[in-house]
Amino acid sequence: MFPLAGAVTILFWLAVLVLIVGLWRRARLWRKGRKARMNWLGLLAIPKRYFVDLHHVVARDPYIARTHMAVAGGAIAALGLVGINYGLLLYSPGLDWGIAIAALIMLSGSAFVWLRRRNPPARLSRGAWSRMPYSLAAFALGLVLLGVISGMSLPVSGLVAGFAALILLLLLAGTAELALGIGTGGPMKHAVAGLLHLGFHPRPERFTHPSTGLKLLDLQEGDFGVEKPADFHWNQLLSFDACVQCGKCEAACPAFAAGQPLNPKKLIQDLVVGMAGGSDAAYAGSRSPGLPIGKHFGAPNAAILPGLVAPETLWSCTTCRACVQECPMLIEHVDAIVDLRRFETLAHGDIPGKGPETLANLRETGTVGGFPHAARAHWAVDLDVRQAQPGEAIDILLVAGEGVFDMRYQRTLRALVKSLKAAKVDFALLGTLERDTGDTARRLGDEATFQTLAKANIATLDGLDFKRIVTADPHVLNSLRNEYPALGGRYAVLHHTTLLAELTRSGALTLGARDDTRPITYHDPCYLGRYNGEIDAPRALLAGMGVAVREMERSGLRGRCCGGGGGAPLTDIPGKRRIPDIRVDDARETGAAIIAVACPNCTAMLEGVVGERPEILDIAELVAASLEA
Amino acid sequence: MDSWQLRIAVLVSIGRNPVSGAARPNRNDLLALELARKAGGEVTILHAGDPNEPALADYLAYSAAPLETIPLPGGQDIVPALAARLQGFHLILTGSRTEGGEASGMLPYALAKRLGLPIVAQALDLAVAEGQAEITQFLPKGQRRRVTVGLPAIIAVHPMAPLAPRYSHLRRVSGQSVALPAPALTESASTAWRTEPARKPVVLKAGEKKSGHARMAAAITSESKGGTLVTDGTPAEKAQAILAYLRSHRLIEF
Ligand code: SF4
Ligand code: SF4
Repeated sequence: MFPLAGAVTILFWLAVLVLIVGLWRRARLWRKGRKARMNWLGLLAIPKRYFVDLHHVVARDPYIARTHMAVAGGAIAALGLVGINYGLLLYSPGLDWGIAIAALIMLSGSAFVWLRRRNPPARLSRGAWSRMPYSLAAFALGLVLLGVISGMSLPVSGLVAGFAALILLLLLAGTAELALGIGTGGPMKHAVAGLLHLGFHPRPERFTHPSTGLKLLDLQEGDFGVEKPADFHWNQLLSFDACVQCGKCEAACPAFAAGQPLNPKKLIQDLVVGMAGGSDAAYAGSRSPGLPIGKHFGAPNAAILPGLVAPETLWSCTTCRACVQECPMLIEHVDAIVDLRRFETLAHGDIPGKGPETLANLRETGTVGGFPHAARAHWAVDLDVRQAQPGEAIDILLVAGEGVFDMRYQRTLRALVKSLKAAKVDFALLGTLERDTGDTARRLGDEATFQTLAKANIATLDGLDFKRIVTADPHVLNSLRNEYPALGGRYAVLHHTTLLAELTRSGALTLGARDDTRPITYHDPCYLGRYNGEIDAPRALLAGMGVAVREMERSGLRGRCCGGGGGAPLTDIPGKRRIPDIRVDDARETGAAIIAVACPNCTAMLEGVVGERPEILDIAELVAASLEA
Repeated sequence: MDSWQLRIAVLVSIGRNPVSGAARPNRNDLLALELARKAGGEVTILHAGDPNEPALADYLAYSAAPLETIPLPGGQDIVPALAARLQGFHLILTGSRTEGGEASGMLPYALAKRLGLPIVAQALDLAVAEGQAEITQFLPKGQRRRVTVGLPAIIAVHPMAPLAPRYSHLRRVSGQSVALPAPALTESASTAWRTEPARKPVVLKAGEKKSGHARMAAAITSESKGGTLVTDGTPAEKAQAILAYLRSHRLIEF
């Protein structure tokens, strides 16, 4: 037997052993987490989830998509062949050539990794990740040489022996990277953890249909959210281990861009540190703005706040889901953030800024701002609109949301009513019967108040006779559509732009062309776009008015947040800039003089930008104005 | 090791949300509770009234202290029952502003009289050391005064005390609340009360004609108000001076 072949066989099985031991050690960390509903069938779905769902995200960056395909595809093919040829002691020269070809593909991929890493974008982590092109290339080169030398079946000679030594050295270096990764928490951990994560994803629904609603917390069972890493479900811990530190989330995060102390990538890495125990000193990516590195410590059973994750980090998040949208490893940052917020709020009540006051208002008055319910329909007092009553059948129930107390949003609502009347829609207001949906409370972690409010609203809605709900507030839409069903409230909920688009399609509403020719851009609300996938209706309406929308660079499902979600305006964590300022800059770049919006929060945030800026108009206002034309 | 344990009782009433009228913890009593929490020691929350009032449990949400309720129907004088329970406490903390119902804001004074304890009102902050409490008192126009009082003492907290009570659902559901044995009923105290809808308070203000500049100066400094500073003489003489002032400005008519 050729001695090189024997050595490769030994190395192969040794690596397999090391990998298994490493996986077992890492799995012990994951198992510190809480039990989760397990579906072993998820493992069968890994290939589909990998090639379809994951690749769908990765493909947005074609460079790295191709690079990864070459490296990972080449490596897997080569390793498979090595396993067959050397693991099973076949030593067939034909298979050796196969190994050489696969490894060559991997080698070329490694070259592109190296190229990207020569001048890496700021979002990429360095540290251990910087050695990846070299260890990958070493491994690939070792395999190429192995394949070629063995494939040629050369007689034993000094030269061949020298090559054999070189090959073994290269393979050893590469194998160390691949096999030790999972056990030691090195970069290659992502391969194993990432695949398992696809199998045991904590939100498996997302592979069949969009799934964004927060999970119901079982308060009666004493579940108050996450205090320490071990309070996460084990498959959430596994998901954190899948992170490849690509920083796509960081680049998308509005809070990070505004210089607030939140970097979603760092947050996920901190949670990894917490699960494994230790400090964040080895982290080599961009920091959470303003916070030092190396001063955060964690352990599986130690509280995450404030030692491992700073409270300001937690409260900077607008829950915009841009990070989730961009994450190639399909990690659910927002769920983790809300889990942590829940414990802070439910156990300690520690919320910065106006958070505590707001939650007290919601508990005592059922409104965010502490307003009387009697005033809920004041905006429509002269419009001759019906108030919904039990026993009176209507087509459409208008659920307005907290904005009814805000004069600016009232203009939007009045415009909407005008269009509904023009289209002869049979509708009534939920009006004085309405309570806050609990959206803000829930996102601030106050699950108790959310559930109380939601149950009250469900009781009210169940007593009314309507076919569909329409709202001009995407946060109301999201609560009612995605989060009430878990509490038993199932309704057909429409955004006003969807209803208006439907009415124009059916001919009930005829849009006029705008005589105002100022250029318009459209800002997608996170809770309409990313949360509910609705990006077409507003654009269809604008097109119907003869408007050619000047799209911002970040738009549609990848739109940038206005800064208004998740209670962020209440907690008001300081940064270098304000998120809405950044968003208005985005709009200015398009040269637009009007930013069309579709959410009262976006309206308020963008109108709060001081200095000269484009005018902010809700689609409902634009539609109503076009009816006159 | 000091085995002395500071024992604090916080007296709480039921408040009302001014908009919805929903029963809630009295905001000012919450500040008293928070001040007690900050001072450390063993805190007991004490309420006299209906032990089944749901809003009472909200007090549990604001601290880890146990809640005791002396069951008393409305219209009863709560002072004797409270005084009986308050034996052995070093500090008795209350708010100083009522949010409605039978709460009068007079309780700390009535209790002080009954128990023969010193009372410090308008407290913003509190530190306890060596059997004494040092209190930062609120004075108008940003002024503060530090006073020291021997224990035991009653302290009424000012509504503007810079404290941030924190509501925790977990504490609310896991806190402990007990109803104490009902005391013997006394003669109803409500006969002395006349109930009427709230009116906008009329500010008693001495009529004075001053230039805009003088008024501005008066608003931003504490000296330039004019008037007389009575520092000498017996309390009776000082009271006479005040009476004379009120009469001369027609603020009282006798
Ligand atoms: S969390 Fe996702 S997007 Fe963010 S760095 Fe990790 S893998 Fe990349
Ligand atoms: S949800 Fe938005 S604000 Fe929050 S971490 Fe993700 S990107 Fe940042």
